[in-house]
Amino acid sequence: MRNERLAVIWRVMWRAAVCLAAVPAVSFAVMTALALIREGAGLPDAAGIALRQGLLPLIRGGFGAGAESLRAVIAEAGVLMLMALSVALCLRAGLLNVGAPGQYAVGVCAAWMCAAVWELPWFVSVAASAAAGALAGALFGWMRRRSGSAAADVLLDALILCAVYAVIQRVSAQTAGGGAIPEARQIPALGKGTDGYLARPVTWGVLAALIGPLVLWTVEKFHIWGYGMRLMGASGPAAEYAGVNRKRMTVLCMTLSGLLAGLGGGSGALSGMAQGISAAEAGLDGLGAALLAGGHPLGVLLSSAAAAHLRGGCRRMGAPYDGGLAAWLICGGLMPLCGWTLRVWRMKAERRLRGKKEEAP
Amino acid sequence: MSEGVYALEMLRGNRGFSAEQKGMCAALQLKNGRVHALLGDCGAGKSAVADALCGLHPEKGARIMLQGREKRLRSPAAARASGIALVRLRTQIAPSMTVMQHILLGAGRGVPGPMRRKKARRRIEALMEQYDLTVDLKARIGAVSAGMREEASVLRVLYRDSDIVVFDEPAADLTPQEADRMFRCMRKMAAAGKAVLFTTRKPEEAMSAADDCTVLRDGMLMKAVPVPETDAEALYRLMTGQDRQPLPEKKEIAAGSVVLEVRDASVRRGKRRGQPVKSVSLEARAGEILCVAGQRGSGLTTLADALAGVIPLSGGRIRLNGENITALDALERAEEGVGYLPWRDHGLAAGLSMTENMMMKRTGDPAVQDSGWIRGRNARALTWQWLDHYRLSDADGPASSPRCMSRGQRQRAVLGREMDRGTQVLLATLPLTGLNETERRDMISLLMAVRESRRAVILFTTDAEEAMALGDRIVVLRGGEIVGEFHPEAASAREVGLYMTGDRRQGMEDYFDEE
Repeated sequence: MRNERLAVIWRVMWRAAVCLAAVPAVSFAVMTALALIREGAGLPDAAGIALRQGLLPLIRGGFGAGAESLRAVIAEAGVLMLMALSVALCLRAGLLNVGAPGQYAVGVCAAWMCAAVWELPWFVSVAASAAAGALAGALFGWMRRRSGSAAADVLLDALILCAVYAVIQRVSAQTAGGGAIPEARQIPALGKGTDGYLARPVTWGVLAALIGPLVLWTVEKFHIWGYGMRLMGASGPAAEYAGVNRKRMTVLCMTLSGLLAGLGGGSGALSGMAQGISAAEAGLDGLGAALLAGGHPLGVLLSSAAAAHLRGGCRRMGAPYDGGLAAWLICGGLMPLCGWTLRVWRMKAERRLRGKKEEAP
Repeated sequence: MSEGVYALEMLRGNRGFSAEQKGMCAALQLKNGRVHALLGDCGAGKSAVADALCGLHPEKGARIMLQGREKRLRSPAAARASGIALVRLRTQIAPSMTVMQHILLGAGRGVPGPMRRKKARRRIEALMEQYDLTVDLKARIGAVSAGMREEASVLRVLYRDSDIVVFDEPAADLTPQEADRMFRCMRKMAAAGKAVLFTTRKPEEAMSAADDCTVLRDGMLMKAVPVPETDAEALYRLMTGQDRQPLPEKKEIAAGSVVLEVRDASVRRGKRRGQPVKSVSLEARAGEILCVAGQRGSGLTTLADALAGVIPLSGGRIRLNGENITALDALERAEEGVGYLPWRDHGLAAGLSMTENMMMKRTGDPAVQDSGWIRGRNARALTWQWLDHYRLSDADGPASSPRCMSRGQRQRAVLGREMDRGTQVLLATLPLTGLNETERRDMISLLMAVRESRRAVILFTTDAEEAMALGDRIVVLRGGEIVGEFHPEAASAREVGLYMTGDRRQGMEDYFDEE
């Protein structure tokens, strides 16, 4: 049995390695094809363009322009970490929080209303974003508890996103300054760059994002509540037999997840990054980072940093490539896909180890 | 077995199955007009052979010869086209379909129109008469008994006119009467010139129902013998590699006071829309095993879950040593002394370590936690005690996973964990299902030890013979209601089977006899 387990682990690792090797190879092939079509160059030239303008800047990522770009990556990673952590928390409890973009958007909206419209201090705005996110999360949790499926979450998510955008549009039109958050109402920055996307400040929010995974990991590993959550994620029936109230735990996890997503949104909005990362982008990137990390809070640190690094790389891509589209495709599409595939492989392998399913008597 | 052209030959594959999918090294030879038994213990590889014969796992490289010609069965459709059909009781069904739709599913193209349906109905009725099968064609397949579901699956195979019919553990969930009926049907199929194969883990079934028998052990073909030339003991020896030992002796113990008293317990709906339970009353006494026997779908797990506190009662009350525990949840009932060995190995979480599995029902125990924070060192020490005391040798230590353990060891681990906390009544749901002979005997010994320690055991089972062998008292559950109560000395497994299938009900014997 142990050898079988090792064999299964080896198979999953091998597949993951093939994936890792295949991603740059496929990316390079796609980039070459794009260069062929757009530039009309011959194959060797197109391959050269793909390498110089596409693959190398992508791999170099956030390290391209020294400390400035590194700071931008850190600032972006901070928001992604909170988002990924929000999804990872639910993954550990066996739940897929597909409503994370909606919870993020609610956080952005709450922080923006507090800071730009009511001109409240930044810490009140942060608290309001966390509370709004938690409320949204609780609503998603309640729906999940009632329906038991993620399909309703997708619909609710779309509704919330539409509502938030409508509110922001309408209110910002009536607000002096077009809805921009005054600098005095933003989270104090630790440092700031100069131009373009490099102007993203590293704020205290990033520090919170770095501490968050450590706190969550400690609670998951050493606290009875975290144990109950992991038990539910590992085996729903076993958790029930052990006295874990699955419905209550579902609502609680989704509420906490919403709190983290709302905090991410608030932290992004109050760092002057609300225009930088949209809710949908943050949601998908967070999902991808959480899945790649296998739901582990500490893994989230690395995967979020990798996502932010790749996003930085995408922005460095030259003609004929569209950096924004590439970032959306790679971080929002490819990463969740890879993470999900790895998760499915792991689940399949575990099911194979457990044996066949039987019908309950 | 005589030489000649076989209806089906399954030769050793060029790539063997991995350890969890054994059986591909078996060479199996079936003849038209004969019933062949494939005998093997749990985990020997019987189902893997049945899967390969019906076109599942073609990548494993089984070599199959049909009427002397090699045939590559790349899919279940290819197997069906070659005239091979599989009858498996536990196959997933579409519960909302009628029995008629279930029979016609996959036979012919598309949904049959009214004319074809009428023709099909006439043919099905003729087959029912020929093979002495009785099914209600209009009933929902999800609502009929296990026996009728199996008969519907047999009719599906007959309707397709398959030449080779493979039954995977046909009698596993049937009462003795239903099993006899099924074996008679197999005989008739063989008499009609078909080659019939059935898998079983009981040598007696092979002896009574088959013409030839092939014995599998750990995926290896041990021997193929004509049944008249052997006996059940020899088959058992071939199957397990050892002589049959008698079951652990049930010592005479006078039943003590009532430990668990259930009065008019009702549950509206089980988990995942399971069978509701209606006004069930029973008493479990110290030092006795109370068997609750019933077929699959009769509400066994719903009742067990309700007694363990996993699902709430909608009516009635439960008392433990006179104290009302109806309002308590699963963890609180566990702390009061209700142990639960759930169905299959749901008592363990495969993704967590042994330490975390040990803690499952001790989250409130100060030995394991202090103000909500887990006391890791204490928990590991308790896990070592648990592993040592119950001889859980498959587990490497507190950090290892239950995935490394055999089915028997996992059952033993859950039972040990439940008994370690001063449990007064143990609820065990199908504790012997899926265990091999050694593991079964081991588990029975443990259950007997619990009984001898003057604690009460409520054993939920689908096997009437198992209930007769282990129980001090037997109650039969049918459709979520108790329909009969017996003492094993005053009844037979067949009689219990009649109540399990709903052919009899206590207090209404006259009505059923007249009918």
